[in-house]
Amino acid sequence: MRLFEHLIRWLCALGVALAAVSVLLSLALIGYSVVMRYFVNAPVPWVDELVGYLLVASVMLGAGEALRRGEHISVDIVTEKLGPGGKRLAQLFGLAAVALAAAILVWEGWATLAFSRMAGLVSNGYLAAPMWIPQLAVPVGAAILLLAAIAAFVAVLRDDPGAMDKGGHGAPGGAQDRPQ
Amino acid sequence: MSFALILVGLVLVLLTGMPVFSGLMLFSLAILYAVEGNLGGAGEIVFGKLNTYLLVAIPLFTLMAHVMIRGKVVNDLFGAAHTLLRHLPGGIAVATVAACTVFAAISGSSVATALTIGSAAIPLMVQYGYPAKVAYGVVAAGGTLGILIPPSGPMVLFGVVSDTSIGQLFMAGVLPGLMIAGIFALWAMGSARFAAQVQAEPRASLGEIATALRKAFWALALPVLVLGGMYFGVFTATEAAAAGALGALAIAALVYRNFGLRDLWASAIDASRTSAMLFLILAAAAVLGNVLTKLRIPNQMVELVTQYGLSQIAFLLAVMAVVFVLGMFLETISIILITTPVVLPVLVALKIDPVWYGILLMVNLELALITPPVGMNLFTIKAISNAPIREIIAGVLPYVALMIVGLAIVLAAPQIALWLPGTMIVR
Repeated sequence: MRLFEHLIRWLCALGVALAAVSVLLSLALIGYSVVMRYFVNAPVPWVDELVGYLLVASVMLGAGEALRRGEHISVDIVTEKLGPGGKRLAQLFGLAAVALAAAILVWEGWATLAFSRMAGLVSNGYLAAPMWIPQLAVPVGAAILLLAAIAAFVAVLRDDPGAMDKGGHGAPGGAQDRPQ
Repeated sequence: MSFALILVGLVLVLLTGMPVFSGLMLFSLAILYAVEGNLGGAGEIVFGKLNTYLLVAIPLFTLMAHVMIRGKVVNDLFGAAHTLLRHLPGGIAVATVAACTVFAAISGSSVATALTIGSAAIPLMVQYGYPAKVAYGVVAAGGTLGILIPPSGPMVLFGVVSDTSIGQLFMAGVLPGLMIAGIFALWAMGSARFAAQVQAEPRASLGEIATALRKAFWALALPVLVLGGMYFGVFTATEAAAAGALGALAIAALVYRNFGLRDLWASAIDASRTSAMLFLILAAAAVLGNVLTKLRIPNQMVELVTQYGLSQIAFLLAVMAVVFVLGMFLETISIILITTPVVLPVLVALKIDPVWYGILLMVNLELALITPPVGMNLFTIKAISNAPIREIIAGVLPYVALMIVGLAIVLAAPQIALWLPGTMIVR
């Protein structure tokens, strides 16, 4: 069980690292395209398309780590009034919901990808990339999210608060980053 | 009326405390499955919604604000505002509003604005004899300017969902933001006159002012680059975000010299987690939007509005009332994403400018941030000060009233929002 938890912790960290690389790469690409357009007068036609794909990757791959750190927003005005037993039940219910949503995304994301491969779809942008490559981010990221949700569920069942970094989902972690 | 049912059902699902994105997605898919017997290509909807170039503005603006916060510009910014304004009645409170206004032009988030300015301003106000609830109120309310004054994460989301120009929305937020900041500052001055225990401070000398402004120069220069670049048509909103992030990195690395590669990596990780959290909700809301369209609910809304012959103002008032009620339970992101697909066709039918509506929505959401029981800024102040939530609410109540006045003014005079974007240079 410990091994499983370590593996998932590592997977989430890897996912968010790739997500961060995607964000930094997008920053560099947009900076590059601005410079090329204004100073060299040679617009780069593929940047917008690539940045869109990188965004899908960064969102999906960062989702697991965000769950592990309890950063997915939830409405807790009712559940915070519950006793410790009720809170625990609500946590388990929430994590089960995340796992179900993630499982659907793995399934549906894979179906989309399989269809793109079968039909040989390519993007209609400048890159003409095979669509299944950027689409891969949805099932892969959702799979990480699914595993993270299962691990958190098991941890709450065993009453191990250390398994998630900020004390379970719904904890007010990372509030300063919330763009509201 | 089926939309009212869906709305109530959705709120009930979210009240179970499950993460919002999973609640939205499962609720929508359950309806879809009941109506159509399949999941309607959810994978494709999610991919298609996330594959949006414009959205990258949010992690990039987050990165910019992070870099500036880590570079400790906040102290310089608040220091400069304090030096310039301290001799006024309620000087520190006025300086707090001013610092929130400028920081709102660096950060796209109200919570971040309240958090960063509040950590500096609240202890100082208490030290100078301001009643604690006054200090909490001004920071909680001033912080909300973060989403009205550009850049603004929620505005980017609204722009993407409603297909409205983000640059125009940003510019439209400037004057209403300054107006509401002005109303707050006047209130802070007026109410301080009657509070005898507040110590007045001497006017700053020219030398002090020059030093303070020199220190805050870079913090002030960055919004000028970002907003000026957009206004004069040099950058699109996304490019402005990239330019702002790169500019912030340059300032932190070359001027403040306290920002290394390790900090850059930490900021990028934070920005990624934020966008994962945020955009998963967006993707789930896209699934909901798809369901609503399949159920023809936006069309029904238009029919309903035309059937009753609602005027622009009557419709807007009705929507604002719904948003206000939702704002007591849900956070801003969900409200934008749930209501916009339904409101949008009616805006078109009634010829309401979506930019104007976007600004009204933002002011409304600012209210949502400081109205109990769920108001993120109230919780933020609680996290900084550890004060009882009752005291924070008492402090913020006058500002709720002032914000409603501000909302009414923008509703009565759309030009306050629409004049500036009308003069901007569109590339």
